Amino acid sequence: MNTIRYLVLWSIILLVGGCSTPVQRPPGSEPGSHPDGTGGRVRNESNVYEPRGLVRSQPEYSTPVIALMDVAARQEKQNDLAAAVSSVERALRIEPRNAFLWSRLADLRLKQKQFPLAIQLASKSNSLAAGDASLVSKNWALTAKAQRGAGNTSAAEAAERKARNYR
Amino acid sequence: MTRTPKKNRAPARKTGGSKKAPKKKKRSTARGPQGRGGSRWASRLIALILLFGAIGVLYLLFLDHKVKAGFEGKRHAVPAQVYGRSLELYGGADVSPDRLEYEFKRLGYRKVHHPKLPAAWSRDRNHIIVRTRPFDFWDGREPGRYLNLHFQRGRLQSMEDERGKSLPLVRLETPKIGSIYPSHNEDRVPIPRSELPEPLLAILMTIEDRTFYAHYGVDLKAILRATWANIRAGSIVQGGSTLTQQLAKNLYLTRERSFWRKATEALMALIIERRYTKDEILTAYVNEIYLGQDGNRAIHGFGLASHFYFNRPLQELDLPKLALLVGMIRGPSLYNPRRNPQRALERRNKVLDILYRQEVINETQKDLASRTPLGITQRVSKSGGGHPAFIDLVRRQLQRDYRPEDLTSEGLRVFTTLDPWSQQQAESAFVRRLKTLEKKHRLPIGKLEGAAIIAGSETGEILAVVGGRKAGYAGFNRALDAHRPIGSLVKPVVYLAALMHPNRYTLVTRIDDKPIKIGGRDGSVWKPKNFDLKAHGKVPLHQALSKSYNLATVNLGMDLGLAQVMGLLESLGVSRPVKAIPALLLGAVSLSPLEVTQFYQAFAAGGFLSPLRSIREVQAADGTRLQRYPLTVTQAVPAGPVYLLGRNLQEVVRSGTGRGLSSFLGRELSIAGKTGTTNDMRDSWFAGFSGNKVAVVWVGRDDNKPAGLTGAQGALQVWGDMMRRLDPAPLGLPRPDSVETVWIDPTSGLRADPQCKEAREYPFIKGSAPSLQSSCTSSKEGSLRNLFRSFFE
Repeated sequence: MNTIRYLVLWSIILLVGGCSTPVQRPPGSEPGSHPDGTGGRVRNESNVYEPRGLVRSQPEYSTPVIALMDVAARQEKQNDLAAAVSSVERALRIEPRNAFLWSRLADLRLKQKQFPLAIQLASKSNSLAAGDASLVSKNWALTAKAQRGAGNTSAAEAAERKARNYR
Repeated sequence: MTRTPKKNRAPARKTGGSKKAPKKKKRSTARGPQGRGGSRWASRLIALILLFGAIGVLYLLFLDHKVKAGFEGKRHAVPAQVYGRSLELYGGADVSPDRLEYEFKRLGYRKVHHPKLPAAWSRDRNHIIVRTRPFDFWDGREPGRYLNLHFQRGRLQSMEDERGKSLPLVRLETPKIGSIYPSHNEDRVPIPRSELPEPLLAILMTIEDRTFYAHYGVDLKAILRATWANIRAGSIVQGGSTLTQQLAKNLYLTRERSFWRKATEALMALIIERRYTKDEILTAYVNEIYLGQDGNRAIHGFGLASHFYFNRPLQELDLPKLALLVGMIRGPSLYNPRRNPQRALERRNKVLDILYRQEVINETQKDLASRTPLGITQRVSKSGGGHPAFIDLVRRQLQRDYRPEDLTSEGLRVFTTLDPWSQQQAESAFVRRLKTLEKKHRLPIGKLEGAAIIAGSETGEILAVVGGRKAGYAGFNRALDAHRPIGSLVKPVVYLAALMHPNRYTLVTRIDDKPIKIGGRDGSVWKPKNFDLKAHGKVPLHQALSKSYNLATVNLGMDLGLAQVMGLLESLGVSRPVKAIPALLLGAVSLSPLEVTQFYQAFAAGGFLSPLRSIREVQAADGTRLQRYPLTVTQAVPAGPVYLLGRNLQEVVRSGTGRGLSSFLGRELSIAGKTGTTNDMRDSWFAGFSGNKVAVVWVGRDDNKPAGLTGAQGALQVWGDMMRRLDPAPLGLPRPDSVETVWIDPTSGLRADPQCKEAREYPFIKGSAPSLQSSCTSSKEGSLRNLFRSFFE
């Protein structure tokens, strides 16, 4: 009987102890500052449906990407838009989730008057912009121009309004 | 019977000439048979001479036409050259020293102590020095460079030039992966006269035709000399053919040995010499001469032979290598250095000996060259090129835009997306895993087949295509042509269709995993079952997908309607007509691995569909830009629901049917994926994506008999092994603005306080999270109460 009593007692102690363990935040994490955008309310793996710490909301902008952007700018100046597109695509192979690169590609496609593609690329950039209001605004302004170019006035006006909202 | 002659004679009588005529005849014979007969024979002879002359002239004209057509045609018939992607080098690039070494091998770069010439490299563990070749890319020329490369932990750390200046980015030349040659299987790498190495020409003329610049196509002296030598030897030991005659033979004639053929060859040689300059003839010869066989591909010309035997351009060959190739002209099969190395070596040394005796080279050069090994590289490819499955895909994509003759004769340069390293790793993983699977599951040896596609998840660029177990052999391309039922790989489409209605379905919505009967129009009844033959009752939507419950999926799909699922499949790039049957919800739709990759690419890229591409650019032989196949995107589905689905597919790998992947890839990579198994385990599938790659693997049997493997037992194993070798990037899904996270009590599926012990944070489309609060409250006591509640329950 004593053994059973001890077991019950220890079980209760352990259970209560386990329940009352305060929530631990990883050191240095502030709500809203988590790289995954989960707000930092992270406790342990089993409680998190979204895996942590994987998304960089800001693009890396590595040295090779900067070099390629320079090349693209030079090619654009020489009016070789096709080559500039090719250089931005090279950069995208290195940083496929860099929202700025998608926006740059959209910009070049707009200059080539490839309006539907420019609109889609701007939308892709927005999907990766992770709350960068100025980039999102720029993308909407670009979309507005492309919509106007394609002759869709009402869609262009709607995009202009969105561009203003994000400014 | 006798009437006809009478009738014939009758008119003659009428005219009265019938009597005179025979007289005349008599007179003429009276002049003497010799004189009359002589003139008749003379006129017959003249007629005959004229006739033969006319035939001769016609034949010459025919030959002339043939020579012209053949010469001009062949001179321009250059197969399309197909290149893989160029390897980009920069500080931080995911390039290990071993991977770079593999790339150098592909490019035919030599390993040396210290690289002084282009196309050479040296390695000291984590430090590589290389001198690259220059290369003309579609958008400009990349110069040859000296690179000093440092590696750390399997990645390229930094890169400097000769003067120690740090370089931001360098692209290596693209490895050649094949060519698209015509159906008569002649491949060539043509080289213009200006780029023909002078030593090659010197060796060629010394060995094959010393009076090339002096004769008119035929060298009578050489023929007499050869004939005399052959008579003395009692067999054919010497040929008297000039280079021009050999060219005529190669261009237009068969290998038959006859006087007639020899005469035609001589005539053609004379015509060629009349029509073309010596330089044109020499260039045509170097590019045309037959130098071996690679399966059903004939190796024509020194340019291609140099790549085929030494894996480097002709301009980089040294004396012994050039001597070997020239020596092989006499008997490409007899002196085949791969099959008969000893005979080839003897032949090469004989050539070197002649060169020495003819004072083309000195004694030291001869001795040094004779001691050099043959230097033949291992055959990279079997018949059909190195990557037949990928080249097949390239050819199909090109055929939409180019005529077949343009592809096989215009010398197009096709820059593709193939990553030879990924391709090689995928092929090795296949070979190894299929063997292991057959052994482990006691399956008949050699019966399992498979296919795989690996692509860039955001760019849609195809990095590797495995068309079957024997990847080096051209044959049935399963990656493109094996249309098999996709089983549970279709389920994510059903769940995505549900998540696109956030007011009805969220990840935590309870759905019914209960038996269902569906009657067909023919009176049949379909009763799907779960894999474990159990029904699980009310289950959260995310769990139904992660555990791949059939009943829950069918109930969900029928609730949504088949049309929705089919429409979504179409938006996701599946263009094949799909039958509207309920079994579609469990994957009764046959697709190729390529088609499956397309819709998983859209999942991997946040709902943005990029048509899968195998070609980046096409350039004309002279460098003119012809076409680009650009990166395009179309938003196929809204980002929010795709994000939820992506998280759910991560759960599949974390704790669902795909959890076996953890023995290959670390959990921190958060890979997303889905297994697929079809009836009687005929097809085993796995489709998934990392942060940068999407890949699909199918394993099954060609005869459609049960393979005996579930998706997790078969395809997942290959997928894991394949991706592990490619060092995939972790998958971080950027959360769209339309998504928020809410703490949920998993037991009830209701909103919970974050302090609740069991509470988990789930993503929802904004505003779609449950509004009801679960009984678990925010205080510690609440959490305690919750615990005791479940304890007592």
